[in-house]
Amino acid sequence: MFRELYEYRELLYSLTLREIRVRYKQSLLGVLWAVFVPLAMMLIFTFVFTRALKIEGRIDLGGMPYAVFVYIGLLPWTFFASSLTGSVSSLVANTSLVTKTYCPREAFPLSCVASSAFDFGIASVLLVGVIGYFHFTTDWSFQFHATLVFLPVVLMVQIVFTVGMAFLLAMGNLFYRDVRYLFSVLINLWMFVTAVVYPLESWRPFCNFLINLNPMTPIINAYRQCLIYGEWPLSLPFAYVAVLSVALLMGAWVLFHRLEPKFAEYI
Amino acid sequence: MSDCVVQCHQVWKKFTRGERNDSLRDAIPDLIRWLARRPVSDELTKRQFWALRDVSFQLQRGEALGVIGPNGAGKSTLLKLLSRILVPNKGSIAVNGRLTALIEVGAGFHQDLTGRENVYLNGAILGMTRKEINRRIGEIVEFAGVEEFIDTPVKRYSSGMQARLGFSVAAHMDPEILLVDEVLAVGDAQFQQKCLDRMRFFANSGRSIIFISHNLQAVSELCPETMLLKNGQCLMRGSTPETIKHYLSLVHEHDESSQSGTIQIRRVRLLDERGCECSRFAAGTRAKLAFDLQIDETPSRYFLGFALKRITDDLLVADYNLDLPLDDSWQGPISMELDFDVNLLTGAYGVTLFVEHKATYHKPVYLDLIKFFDVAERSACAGVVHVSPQITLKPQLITAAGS
Repeated sequence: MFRELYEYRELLYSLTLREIRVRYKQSLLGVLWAVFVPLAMMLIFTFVFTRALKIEGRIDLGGMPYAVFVYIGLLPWTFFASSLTGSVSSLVANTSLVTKTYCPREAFPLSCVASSAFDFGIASVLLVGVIGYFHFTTDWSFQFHATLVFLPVVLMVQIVFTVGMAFLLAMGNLFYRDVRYLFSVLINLWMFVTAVVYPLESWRPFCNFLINLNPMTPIINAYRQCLIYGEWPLSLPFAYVAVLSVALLMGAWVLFHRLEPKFAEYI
Repeated sequence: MSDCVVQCHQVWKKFTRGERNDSLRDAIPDLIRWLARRPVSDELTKRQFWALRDVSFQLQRGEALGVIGPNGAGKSTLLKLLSRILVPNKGSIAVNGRLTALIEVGAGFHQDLTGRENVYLNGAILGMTRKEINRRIGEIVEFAGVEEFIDTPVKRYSSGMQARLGFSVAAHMDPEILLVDEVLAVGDAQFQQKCLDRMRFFANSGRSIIFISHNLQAVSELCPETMLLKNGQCLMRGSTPETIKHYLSLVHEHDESSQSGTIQIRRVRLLDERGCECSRFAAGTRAKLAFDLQIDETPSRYFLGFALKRITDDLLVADYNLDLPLDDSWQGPISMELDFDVNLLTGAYGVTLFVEHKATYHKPVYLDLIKFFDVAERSACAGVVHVSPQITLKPQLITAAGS
């Protein structure tokens, strides 16, 4: 499984390049859209929550400006959501390749995740700008914490979880096209039950338990903890997510591999 | 056997007609059963059929094997099994070596990408590394003849250009085993020839080819041996001319009862000069076609048609409309003999007999390729017509100088 995928790493690279190229072909701004879209989302949410709903004083952001808070949430969330949106139809969109050529089919969802990672990388550069802006223009100041070194671990956990989900969704949609529609509805709901645009905490332990059952909440919280608060995200929820992600990826991959011979027939 | 590159052992493949998993009610038990790894049952449900039945064959290193058969015979299914796109329900397939399958040229070309970008993508799909493609891109582009358009998006290409580029990428792979499925249907005659030459080069350089085509000429040019598939079964495997003959006789199965009631041809036999039934002639001899003709209509209204075709390429060698030497008052059956010169060179030929109405061109009897025969010619020669060249020496008279 791993070895074959490694042998086809060139294919993965080419498919990823294709995804990225195709996304920005025939557009004037090209790759700048990878920056503009999250920036625009940040401005919209900032406007809605601070100007329209005037929520800023009422929720505890730990002293962080809402724009910074929401951007740190949106960045990994967009990566997650766009990876899955691409993956869910990745096999079906490549029907001719699935039925006419042989290659490890994992490459299709993986290339969607990888091309979203590229956008994520570009949009992350903007994060520096956002933090810098608020650091120098407001009385909030950014401090470097040792916990920054933990960020790659958080990112890894997120990627592992995303890839596991991507395998399941791509495969599910191949057999039943319902999956794509169901997914497009659920991903919106999912964003609002995750601490993306507002902090999710409750004084009732049972609710907290439910909130943290959603794997994306501990992940997104962990980004904020490492980056801004300087806390090590070595809590129970994060450990649970890390274990769950690895288990999910393993399970999904094995299932994917076992169903793979059926793909060309059932697509 | 160390030199066996493909070994196909009793392979069965089942397909289902119509839609699968019409509802959740069917789908969930199916999935559960599949996950429980229930052994594959031999029985077919009502909607299933065998696309391949008990197919076994071996391909040796350096061998070029043709695969022919009518549509729906399972040729492409076989190729997809060999290239691991599908897996067999029963039986085993062992492939020993780097295999490239060319099932559809340009499968996976992305319309928005340029020719160059697609070459890299397609190459990667076929298993080439970027380094290899970097080295060969010049050749690939030149072979396809799209130098001027290589940085244009593929969506602006003509379908022929796309097909040429697609074949070109695959043709510059370096596989040990090449599987080709009817890709010559695209491109003009010149490009088809180029493709054939390229494949012949592969074959001659010790690599193995499995070549599926309806182009019998291409098959016979490229492959010494051919396998005939029909209804998922391997009917025969043998020398290409023999297999083609068998295939053609399947295609033109002559049902005597289907002949028109008033005119019938029966009991067609091909005889040599001594009057023995024969299917192998020496060039320059005479052959005789004997048959029974039953004609209950005015014979002068009809021609007897007689044609010879070379079977490997459908080349029409002779086509005659002969007047029937019968009185109009003739009634009932008659035995006829038709003599002709076998002025032909080495090859496999087929005889077609028909009866044609002189005014309406209607053919109440049409027995296409009713008989086959081979011609063997010892000397080194190529072509169709045996022209019996002779060399004679004539000593020149040397006359006195100056005159």
